Amino acid sequence: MGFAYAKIELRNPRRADLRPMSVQALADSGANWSCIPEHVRLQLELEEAERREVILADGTRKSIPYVGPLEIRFENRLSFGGALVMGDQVLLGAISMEDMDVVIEPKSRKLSVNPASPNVASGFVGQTQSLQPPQTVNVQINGVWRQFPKGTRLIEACEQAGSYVPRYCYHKKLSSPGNCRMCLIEMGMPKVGPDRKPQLGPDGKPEINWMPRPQICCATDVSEGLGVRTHSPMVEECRRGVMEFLLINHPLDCPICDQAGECRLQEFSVEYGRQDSRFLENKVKKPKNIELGPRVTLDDERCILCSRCIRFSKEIAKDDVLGFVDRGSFSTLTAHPGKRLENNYSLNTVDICPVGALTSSDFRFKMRIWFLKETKSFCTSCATGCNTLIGTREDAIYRQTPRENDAVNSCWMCDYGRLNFDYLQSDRRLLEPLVRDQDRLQPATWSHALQSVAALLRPFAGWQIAILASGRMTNEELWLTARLAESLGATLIDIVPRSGPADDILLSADRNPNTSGARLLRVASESATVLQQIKESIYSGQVQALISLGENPLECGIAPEQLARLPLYIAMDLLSNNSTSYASVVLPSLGFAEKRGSMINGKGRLQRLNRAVRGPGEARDDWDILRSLIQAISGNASATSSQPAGTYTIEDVFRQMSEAVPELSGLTLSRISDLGVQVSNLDKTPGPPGEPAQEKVRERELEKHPQ
Amino acid sequence: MAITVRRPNLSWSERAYLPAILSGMAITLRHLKNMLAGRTKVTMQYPEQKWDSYLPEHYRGAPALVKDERDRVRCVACQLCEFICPPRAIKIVPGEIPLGERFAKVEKYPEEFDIDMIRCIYCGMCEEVCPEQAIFLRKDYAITGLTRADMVHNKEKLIEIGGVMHGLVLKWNEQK
Repeated sequence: MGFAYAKIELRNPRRADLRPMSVQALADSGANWSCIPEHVRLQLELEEAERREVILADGTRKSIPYVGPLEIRFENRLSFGGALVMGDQVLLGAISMEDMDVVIEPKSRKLSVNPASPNVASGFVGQTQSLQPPQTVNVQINGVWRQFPKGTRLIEACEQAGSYVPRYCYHKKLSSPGNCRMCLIEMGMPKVGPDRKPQLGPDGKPEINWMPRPQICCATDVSEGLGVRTHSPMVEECRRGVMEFLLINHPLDCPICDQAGECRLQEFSVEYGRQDSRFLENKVKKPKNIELGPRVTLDDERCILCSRCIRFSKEIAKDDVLGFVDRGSFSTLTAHPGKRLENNYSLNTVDICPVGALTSSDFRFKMRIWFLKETKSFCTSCATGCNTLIGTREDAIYRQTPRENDAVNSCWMCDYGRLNFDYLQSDRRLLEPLVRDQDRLQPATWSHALQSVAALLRPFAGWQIAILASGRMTNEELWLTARLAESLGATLIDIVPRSGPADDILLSADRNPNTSGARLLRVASESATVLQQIKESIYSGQVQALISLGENPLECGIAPEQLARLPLYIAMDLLSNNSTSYASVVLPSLGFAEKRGSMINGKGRLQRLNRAVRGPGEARDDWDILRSLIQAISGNASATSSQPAGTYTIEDVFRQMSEAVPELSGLTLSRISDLGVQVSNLDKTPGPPGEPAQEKVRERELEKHPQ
Repeated sequence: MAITVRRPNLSWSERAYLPAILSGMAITLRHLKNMLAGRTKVTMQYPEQKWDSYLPEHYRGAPALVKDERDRVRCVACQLCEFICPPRAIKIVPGEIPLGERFAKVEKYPEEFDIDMIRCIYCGMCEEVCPEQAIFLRKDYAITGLTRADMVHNKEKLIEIGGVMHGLVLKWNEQK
């Protein structure tokens, strides 16, 4: 700390008409802020920006006006800033002095320009990451030198180099405890000669000084000159040893274990283990078939103590309920006393469990995984749209698991969305079109049902018709819904908002998967104003015909007696509910796993649903129903009235839509990549946990068109 | 694609036909002689007579579920046989053994186990793949039924055919 006197010039940069003030200032490096007396403020007409609390040398606190902007000049240096109005002399604080790159010479008590940079002020600046060229380091993996960005985990570097290193505890989205020891490798650093320089081999590359004992590569970052051997005899011996240790207390009940077939222990046992066991003693008994939570079953004997589930609960789900108790071979995974693993992300622990210790109570013993056909899709339970794999066998859905997509859901999904597929296999599914015939809904053929709808709608004018669309419909369906409204001349069209509590991880408050799509296609109104209008118009009797597409009007505030009074009510839905009995025509449609189509999630990412199972009974694809309806109403066979070309496939619908909607131009349904395409930038759903906020750049990741 | 088959080059004796006719006559005469002497053994009076006792050890008859000496149906519904079965004759619905039952430790059992004997080709892969020594091909070969449904062996039928088998590995013991 030191102080000196210096002659400085003060100006108000906003007022060029005011003349600068030249003052003798006390430069005090012990004070943060510069201070000016009241008369300087008056002279320069500085404006008060805010009030600040200052601590004086005697410890008292005071509230002081902070004024600015103030331009300070000293010799060839300049600083813009603010000053506190206090005291009776100008005081130059440390911030301004740092800013001008001036120093106090303690000996002469003089302020002077930093002699190290006499002409231009210099200093340190922080650079943002993107401006820096990526730093790479050279790593030798199995004899081949490669470059990796600094900070890459060695285990990832090995994988990128094509030598997969087996691992149990390491998960790329979690921290690395390094406790399973499966990823042991041989490691070495460059040989250093007596001159402290790396010794070069005959090929001009540094020679490696191999360490005598193996190292884990999951908790090590790459560094310059690092050498790795992933398949040396020592490494293979290590893996065999680790496998043998992991298996001594493992029950080997693969025939009943749900993990069998996707079990790392099975896979690595085949690849790296030995055939037989040399263990003669009795295996340690641990609790089996424990209900760890409402959705997760634990078998402690199968657990290999990798702690992935513990780290997931702590780091991602932020619900630190799991832990190990006891020691040595008696170590046991358990929930903290009095707590259960019941957070909404508990089933992710089942996904990341490398063995069958944690199994899904819902999927338990239902189906062996080798029978499951996995279809890439995404979850339609909220606006996040977590990418999923739907596991099916013979038109029955058995499970949904998250699929990695760093732009949406990382590796996770919530339990609510994951288990929300039972309704597709419910007894209430509508299996055939129903047409009202003398007060009773009778099964009918599709052509009869569609013709009846057209005939029933004909007497009504456009202003008498309201369409209740759904935020659960795909873009193609919403597009055709808008065309349907056009051909009917109806203007009352809206989706039913659906919301629930959100969390900061993945679950969005908007429980409609495609609100963004409905907005983009102008089917949804802002804050459901049209929906309100529809309700009022039904109440007032203006609306005579209601078409509900996948929504239950009774659940969005229309009273049963109003619905009963409506001359015409047409319902297209998956399930029969309390409103379908009022309908004149019921059209059975398909659920998310039974059809193709695209949706736009809450962040503006266009994603594609793929068909995992066939629809039940005679239920038809929604877009097909809407297309046929438009044809029946407009009375021409050329698909939609406004489009000249025919609409024969869902690809045609998407093409028409992409021609009309600029956000979708250049896309086709097949060209949407499995990870989706960003089409607009919205920021509603929480980002994937542990990932930085998504860049607001319109990106186009187009997958090559198949064929 | 047409494949040209080369005609064999016949020797002069083959082209003359006569030696082949004579050797055929010799066989016919031998059979006639044996018949007159009452020495024929080829026809068994099935079904009055049965050849069950002559069946070899490795004979592959109908697949069946066996019990062990502890009276436990050994199948744990791992569904490997269902997976391996080439004609897809096997259908299993797995279930969970409730806590408190005698073999609750095993946790899993087949709620339903159907083998469609119209489809079964008696290949024995189910027996080979079974990790629990639960399914064996027994010596039953006369599988009959009046309807297609009759030809589907359900779990009860399979256990009935299988019976008890001794000397198997008792894997689900207390030590494990």
